[in-house]
Amino acid sequence: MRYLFVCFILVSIVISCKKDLIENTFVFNYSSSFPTPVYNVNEHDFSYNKFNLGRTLFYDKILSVDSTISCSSCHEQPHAFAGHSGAFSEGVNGQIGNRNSPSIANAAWIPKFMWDGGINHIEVMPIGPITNPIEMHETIENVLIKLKRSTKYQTLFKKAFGNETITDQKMLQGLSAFMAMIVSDQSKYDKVMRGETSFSTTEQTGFDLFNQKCSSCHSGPLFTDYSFKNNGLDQSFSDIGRGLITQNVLDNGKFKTPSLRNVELTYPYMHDGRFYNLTQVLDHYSNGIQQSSTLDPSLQNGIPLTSSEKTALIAFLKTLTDYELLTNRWLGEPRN
Amino acid sequence: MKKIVSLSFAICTLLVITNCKKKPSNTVETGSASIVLNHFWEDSVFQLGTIYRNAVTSDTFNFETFKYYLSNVQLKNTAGNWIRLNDSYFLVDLSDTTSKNLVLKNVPKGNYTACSILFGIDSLHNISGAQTGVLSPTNGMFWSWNTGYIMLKMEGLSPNSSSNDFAFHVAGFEGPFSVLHRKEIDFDGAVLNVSTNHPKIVVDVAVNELWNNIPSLSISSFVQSVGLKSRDLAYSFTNSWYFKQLEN
Repeated sequence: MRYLFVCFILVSIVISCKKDLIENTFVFNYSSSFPTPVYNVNEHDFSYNKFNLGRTLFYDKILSVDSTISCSSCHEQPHAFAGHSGAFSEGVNGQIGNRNSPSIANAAWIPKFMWDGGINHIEVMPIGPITNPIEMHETIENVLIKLKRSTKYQTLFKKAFGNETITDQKMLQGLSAFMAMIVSDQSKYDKVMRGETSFSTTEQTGFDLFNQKCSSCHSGPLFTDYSFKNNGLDQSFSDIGRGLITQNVLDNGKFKTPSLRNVELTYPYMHDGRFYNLTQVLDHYSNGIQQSSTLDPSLQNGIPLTSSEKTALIAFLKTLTDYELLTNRWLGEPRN
Repeated sequence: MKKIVSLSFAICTLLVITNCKKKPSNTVETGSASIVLNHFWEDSVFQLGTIYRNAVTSDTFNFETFKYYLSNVQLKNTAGNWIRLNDSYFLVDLSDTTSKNLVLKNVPKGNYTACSILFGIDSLHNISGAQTGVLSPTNGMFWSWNTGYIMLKMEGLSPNSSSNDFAFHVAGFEGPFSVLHRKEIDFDGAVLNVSTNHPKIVVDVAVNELWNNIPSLSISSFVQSVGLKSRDLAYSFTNSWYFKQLEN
């Protein structure tokens, strides 16, 4: 009985303190192997309350025109914040997009957003999907009207920014604070690099092959150089990708190199989600490269791989899965 | 001994620094001025909801939207130096008459012989994330899919367009297709005197001249990406501005 009482006291203390503890010890933390983030969170007066505002917005369907979808509809935590409903994500009224929704893990390091790199800053990134007629099809003006009507958001904005004025800038900075906190740096690969565990023989073979054959584009601790490349999917382009943004024909058919962190979970693959598993992806690089004028020179002859090499590469790629990211409840849907 | 020397040196430096800080900074007395924009179509006042005829293409059209951004105003003083005015960002919207009067605040008192204006929003504000106020994306002058502010937005109806409408969104702030232009407006020998008054720089905008450089809407009635068309339109727009007079 006495133990029970002590337990009760302890639990109450923990519950009452936890929120304060989180608020006071809230920091933007990342692996020492990562480069300096592009989005300098410290410049933006980062705080738990901004993060919390952003987290609430991220999971709130209020951002879509008919309150049917939220950011998390196409960026799901169990899939490392990538879309999973199919090759293309579904917008309001069941409309289907034309590009696969990628993982937004490690968003603070992304220099240019979207497959075509058309969006140049994390803070203005959400305006794209919110206003796109085939995604959330809402206007920023209307989102603000809805947020201003909500006592919940009045409180959240006040906590985050010190006053109740709700502006688009504050909303976007809140969303960015949440997105920046989606850091994936706790995969088995990271633990091996820190010397806490080791690769299996197959994983090690895969890692060596990766370094020889893949890491020129999927480079560094983020497994991407963020460049725009034509990786030989088609001979002619139904979606010109980067060319749409730069209006330069030399960029037609080029898309951003995606990070491979959590690649096991972010299927389907490529900008149009045409491949449903990693074997198909490796088959493509090995013997499916299509020639076209903007094909990346490094892929002219494909990347020949034997089936045992493919097995090893896939084993390595699976070490990039970060289970802590998938289960971190602070990044999940708020319960209140 | 060494320690004491370096310590006293440090203290001295600190004292100098704090002392410097305390000195009152040279506060420049400031006033205000305005740039007043009068839009014309040939000899008549240009307004929305009116049917105009393009003398070059014979197209007729009716504008529903005519909006543009101006920023980074500078004034040239009589010594020939350009004075930059901070926070000078303006959205001119023909549906809002007050927006045609650009109020320049915190102008150092003095005499000026010219002004210069950036057409569009400087590249820094195109790459720095979420903005607010006159630069809020809610003003309908922001591209969400290819980040950047629209410099000039013209939309309306025309029977010459196959879709019966037209939309020209002139944008692009970097690379070969940047639409950003800085225009210098010389006061033709007149002097703008900024003191306790609120002098005005009156400028005429000959909208028809911009449209003289637009091919028939039967050929092309939409520009909604960066590129040569946007860049040329931007250039034509800056060339359609004429200094009229100063009102001191």
